[in-house]
Amino acid sequence: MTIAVSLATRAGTAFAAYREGDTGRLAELVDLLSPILWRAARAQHVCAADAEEVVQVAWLRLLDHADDIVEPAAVLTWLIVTVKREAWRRSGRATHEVSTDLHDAVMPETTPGPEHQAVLTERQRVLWHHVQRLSPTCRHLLCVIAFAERPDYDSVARALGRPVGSIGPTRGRCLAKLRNALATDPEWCAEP
Amino acid sequence: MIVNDDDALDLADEALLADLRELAEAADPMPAGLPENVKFALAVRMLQAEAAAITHDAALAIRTAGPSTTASIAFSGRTVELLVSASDEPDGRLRIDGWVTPTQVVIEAHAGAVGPSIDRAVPVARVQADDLGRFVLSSLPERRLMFVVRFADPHQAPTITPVVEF
Repeated sequence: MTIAVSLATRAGTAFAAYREGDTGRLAELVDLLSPILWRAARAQHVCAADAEEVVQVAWLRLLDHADDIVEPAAVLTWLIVTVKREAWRRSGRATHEVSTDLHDAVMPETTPGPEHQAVLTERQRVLWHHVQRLSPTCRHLLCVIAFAERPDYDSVARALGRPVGSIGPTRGRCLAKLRNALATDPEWCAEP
Repeated sequence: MIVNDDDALDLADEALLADLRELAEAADPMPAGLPENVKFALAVRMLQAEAAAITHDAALAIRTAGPSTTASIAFSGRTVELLVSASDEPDGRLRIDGWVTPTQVVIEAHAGAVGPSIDRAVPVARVQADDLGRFVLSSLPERRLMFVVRFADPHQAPTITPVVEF
């Protein structure tokens, strides 16, 4: 299997160049990381409009704190943590709750509206059905790391607030649950 | 098959995550204009500029996300009002007729989403408005433009507009 260049590494390269004065590289960073930041914001149960604002605020914070980030490759996790905190600040929850799974139990589910349901393929509907039956912790973790590369999974999961000791197993368990559920569904075919 | 730990992440998991990514993109897509809006916000901050918002376009549809396609657009900022109207020249290039207040300011047109590098970007066209605020930018090779309004006093913050497509 080929190991993809990690998102953190690519982001770190652009961010380092930006800090050295190549300001245009910041636009590249925005294109590279906005999809995963959007997903991280949505995983915190903020609505789409708020999620967009949360992502924008995180980028503006980066301008103010660019020199605080010691290791350029850490810019990815720095932004994810900032998105998460800003999302929580907006939803009026204390930041100390972020590290718990409490919010998973009390927040409503995010489901695609009819306009988006309509664009799903039959195969995606089956997958969505099973994804919705995962625990919120699993669902959000998988939906965000799906936007990273394999070498990023642990650091992204950690930035999302998974307890350090359980990162790998949590992700593995979540994937296993989903795979097992799909394996027993005759409507699911593994290959599209 | 049971996945026990980190190392057991295999091709099937990678494929499943790829499916999940496609599903998320279809079911809950990121707004198409989000990266452009972020770049605009960063450019405004980096230039310490005033942002001008689109207040009217010919289609009467004000779009907050992504570039809009129209022929005539008005922008409004804290200190600047800008109206631009686009037409095609015989060779297919773009001509912009504009009007701005305050008058005699300098108007720059920048290609596409210059974004955060706008502090050192070279405009595709640059002209000073006359004493009635009128200006013309002709033979523009680009149709996706953002405008920067600069004042004679270098200490006065410039005003920049979102990217629009003509």
